[in-house]
Amino acid sequence: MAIGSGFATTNTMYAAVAKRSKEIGTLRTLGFSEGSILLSFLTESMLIAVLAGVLGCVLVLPLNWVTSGVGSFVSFSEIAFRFRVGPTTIVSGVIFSVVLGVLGGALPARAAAKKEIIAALREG
Amino acid sequence: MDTVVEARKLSKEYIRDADRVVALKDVDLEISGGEFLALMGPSGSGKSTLLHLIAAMDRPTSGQVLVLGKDPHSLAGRALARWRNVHIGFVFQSFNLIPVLTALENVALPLKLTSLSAKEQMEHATTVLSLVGLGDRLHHFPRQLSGGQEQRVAIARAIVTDPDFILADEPTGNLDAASANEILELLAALNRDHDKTIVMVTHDPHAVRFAKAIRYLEKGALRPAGEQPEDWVDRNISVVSVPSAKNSSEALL
Repeated sequence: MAIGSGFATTNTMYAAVAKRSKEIGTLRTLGFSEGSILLSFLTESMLIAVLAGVLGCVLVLPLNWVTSGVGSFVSFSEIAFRFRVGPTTIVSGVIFSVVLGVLGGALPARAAAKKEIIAALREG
Repeated sequence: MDTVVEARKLSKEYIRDADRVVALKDVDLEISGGEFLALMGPSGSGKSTLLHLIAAMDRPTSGQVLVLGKDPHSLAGRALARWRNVHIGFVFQSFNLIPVLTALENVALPLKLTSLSAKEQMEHATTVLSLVGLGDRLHHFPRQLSGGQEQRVAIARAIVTDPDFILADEPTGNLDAASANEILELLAALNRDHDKTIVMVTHDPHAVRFAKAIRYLEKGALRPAGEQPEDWVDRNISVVSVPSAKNSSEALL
């Protein structure tokens, strides 16, 4: 699921880079460096991922303490699962989403930064 | 006047669909400080390419362009980006404002790269927007402005860092006649009253009447100074002798 999310981030950010090509060319013309463009897209990707992480944590809260079980007819026993969302889970979940955001956004951000100014202006 | 731009044997070639396209061919050009030069020529004659090379937005295939005695193409990375921010104010045909930013934020954008505080950046941007006659449109988004107003914001953004040059690529190309006139008067006033060196690409015979000098490009080659293409003479378009910009432009600044 995490790998899928990473690809989704990459896909979203590539779309953002393509859509904002003219904007990238304009910013480069104004004097923004390749590094600034890279950082701005990476930050955007990270912020989207953090928002998604926090939203995921909030949406999952109603499932807190929900118990489910799996029965076995062979041993006539049941294994019970209790879904618990504690502070540690939330923090690690958000940190994991940040990592996914950075990894997923890295390639599109690099592509944005490496665009030639004239090509970027024409693509927009 | 000192020469501020000097192009020597400047050439630019592209590869397009496996074909070699010569956009500029051995162009020699000198531009003096305080000049308002109009670059004319048909589509594909290399006007915009020449402007892009002066602004160091693109690299020449061969030849050299010296801006203020220095070849900007010898710079790279952050140094080149910084050079553009300090020396060049670029005006695009389609304005190229950032749609999610207000007029004030758009104009303040190049100042983010300076050492000015956020408050000073906003003060500078406000002053420049008032200078171009948009003091009452500070917090409007581009979609809430007319084409002429958008181009004024773009000009304000181009001059907010007080660059040495204003390079305008068909600045009136997307405007109606009245708005185009206002923009040309504004550029002429910036040249006359603020001594800004302006290079404007256009193929509008009306627009060139605001310039002090005109040069023609044809198939990537620059015609000698004072010479205009024959078809222009046939069409009775006289732009070799250019009157100074109208006095009415003073009202704008």
